[in-house]
Amino acid sequence: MNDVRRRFVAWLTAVSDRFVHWMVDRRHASRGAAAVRIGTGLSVIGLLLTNVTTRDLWVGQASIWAEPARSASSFPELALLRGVSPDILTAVYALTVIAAAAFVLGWHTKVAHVLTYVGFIAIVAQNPVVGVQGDNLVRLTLLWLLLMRTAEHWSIDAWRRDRRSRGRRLHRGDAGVACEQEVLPAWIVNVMHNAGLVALAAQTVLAYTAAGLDKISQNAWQHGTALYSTLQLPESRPFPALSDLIGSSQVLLAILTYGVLLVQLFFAPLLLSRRSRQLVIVAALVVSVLFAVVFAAPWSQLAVVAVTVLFVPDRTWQRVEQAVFERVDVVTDRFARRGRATEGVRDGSRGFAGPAPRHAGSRARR
Amino acid sequence: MRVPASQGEAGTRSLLMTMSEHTPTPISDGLGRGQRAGVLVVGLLLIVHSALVALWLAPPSPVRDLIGSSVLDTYVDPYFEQGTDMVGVGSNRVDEALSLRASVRPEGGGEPAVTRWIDVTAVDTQAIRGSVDPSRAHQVARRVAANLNFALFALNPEQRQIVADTGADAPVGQLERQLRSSGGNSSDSTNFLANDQMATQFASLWLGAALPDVELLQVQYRVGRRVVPQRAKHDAPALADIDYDWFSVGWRSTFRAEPEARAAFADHVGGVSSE
Repeated sequence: MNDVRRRFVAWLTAVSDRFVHWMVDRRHASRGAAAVRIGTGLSVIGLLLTNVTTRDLWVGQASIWAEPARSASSFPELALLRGVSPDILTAVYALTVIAAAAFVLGWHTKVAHVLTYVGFIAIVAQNPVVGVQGDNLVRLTLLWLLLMRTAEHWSIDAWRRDRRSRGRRLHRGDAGVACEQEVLPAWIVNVMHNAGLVALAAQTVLAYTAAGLDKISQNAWQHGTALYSTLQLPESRPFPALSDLIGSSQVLLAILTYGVLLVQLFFAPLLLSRRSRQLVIVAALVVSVLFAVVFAAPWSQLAVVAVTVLFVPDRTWQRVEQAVFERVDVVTDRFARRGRATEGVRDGSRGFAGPAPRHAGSRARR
Repeated sequence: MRVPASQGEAGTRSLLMTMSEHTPTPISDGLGRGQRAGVLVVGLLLIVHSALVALWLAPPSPVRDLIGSSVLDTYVDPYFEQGTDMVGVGSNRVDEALSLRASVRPEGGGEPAVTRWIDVTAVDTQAIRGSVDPSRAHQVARRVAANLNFALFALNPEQRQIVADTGADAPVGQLERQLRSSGGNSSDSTNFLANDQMATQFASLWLGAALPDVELLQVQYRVGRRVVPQRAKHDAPALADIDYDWFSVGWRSTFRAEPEARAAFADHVGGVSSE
C-alpha cells in the first residue's frame, strides 16, 4: 500500500513539475495567438460595419422595444450605452471599430484589446433578441486573449519592439534587450499567457464537443435531415439557388452531415496526433467557410475559424510566414529596382539599375 | 533505459510540443515554493473552470444535479454564458412569421379603418436575399415571432384564449392578472408578457414607419409557424406551398417612442406601406 502511495506521489510530483515547466519557462503558441487576435478582431470589425447603417435600430434608441430582454441581461458594460443619444452611440461604435482595427494591426494592442472587448459587449449585448451564438464565441475568445500576449508576431508593436531592439544592439550590444517592456516579472507574464492559452483551447474543444454531442442527440441529425430542413427556411436561404443545389443532392447532404458531425464530435481526440490534427483543422475550416457562404454568416464563422487555427502549430505558421515574406520581398525588390531604373532614366543614366541586394530593406521577421 | 510512452501520453505531448516553439529560457528552476504553488493553483482553477462550463453545457446528470443548476448558472452568467451551437450551425425545421396590422384614422379625421396584415418576416426575407452579410435588423421580426411562439406554447389553452381575447380596451394589468389566475407556471406568464410587450412596441414602431400618413390608434400582431416537410416523401409539398398556422393576439394600445427611434424605423422600413 505504501509502495502504491509512494509511486502515486512520485507520479504526481513529476506531472506537476512538468506542468510548472510548461507554464513558466516560455510562452506557447505565440503565432497561433496572433492569428486568433487577427481573426477575432476582423470578425468584430465585420459585424460592426455590417450593421453600421442600422445601428440605431439594432442597439440604439430604436431598440427600445427590446428593453424587457435587455433588463434580463446582467452585463455591467450595458450601462455604457443604455438610453444614450444617437451621437454617443455613434461615438462608442466608431471607437470600438477603431480599437478593433488597432487590435488587428497590433498597435498598442493591450489597450486596443480592452477597448474592443468592452465596446463589443456594450454594443452587442444591448439587443439580446437578435444575438447569435457567434457573439458568445467572440466574447469568450476576447476574454481569454486578455491574459495572453497576442502581439508578439504580425503586429506593429512587434515591429516597433524589433526596431528598438536593433537600435539598442547597435549602441550597447545584445545584453538587456529582452523583456525591456515587461512591467510584471517574466514568469507571471508567461503563466498568464499560458493559462489564457489553455483556457481558450479548452473552451474551443468544449464548444466543438458540445455542438457534436448536442447534434447526435437530435433526431434530425440522426436521420440526416437537419441540414436539408435548415436549408429550406427562408432566413437560411440568402442564395436560394445554392441552397437548392445542396438540398437537392443526397450525396452532398450526406457528406456535409457526416463531415459536420465527425469534425465536431471528434475534434478533441483528433487533435492528439499530428496527422489527424491537420485533417480535423482543415475539415473544420472547410465546413466554416462553407457555412459562412451558404448561410451568409461570415463574421460568426470567421470567429470559429480564428479559434480553430489556434491549434495550428507554430512550426506551420513559421513556414507560412516565411513563404509570405519571401513573396513580399520579391515584390518589394521588384518595385525598388523599377524605382531605381526610373530615377536612372530621369537622371539621364542608363535604364538598368542593377540587381538590388536580395533582402535589402526587407522587414524584420518576427 | 527510456520507457516508451503510451499512445495517449505521446499524443498529448505531441499537442503540447506543437504549441511550444519559443527559444527556451528556463526560469522555472528559480521559482520559490510559493510561486510554484501559485502556478499549480492556476492549473487547478483552469481544470475547475473547464469542468464547470462542461457541466453547464451537458444534459442533466447526477453530477450536474449534485452541484445544482443554479450554482452553475450563477457561475457562467454572464461572461461564460454560451450555447451548444457556438461553432457551426444549429438545425431548425420550423419557419416562423410575424404579421402586423393597425387600426388607423386618416390624417385630418374620418372613420377609423383596419389595415391589411403586413408580413414583416417576408419583407426581411426579401431584404436579405443575395446578401453575403445581412444586418441584424433584418432578423428582428423572425426572432420576435420565434420567441412569441415559444412563449405561447408554454401557456395552457385557457391562457392562450385570454391572450387572444384581451384587447386594448382592457384595463392596464388585466391581462397579467388573468394569466396568473388561470393556472400554469408563473414564469411562463411573465415570459409571455415580456414578449408581448416587445412585440407590441416593435409593431407600433414598424407600423408607424410604414404608415406615416395616418394616425395609429391600435396595433395587433399575429405569429405563424409552419414545418418543413420531410424530404423522404416524394409527393411532399414545398415549404412555400404550406400555409402558416396563425395565432392572433387581441388589439394592443399603440406605443409612442422618441422621435429618434421613429426616425430610425422610418429609415429602415422605407417604402413599405399599406394598400
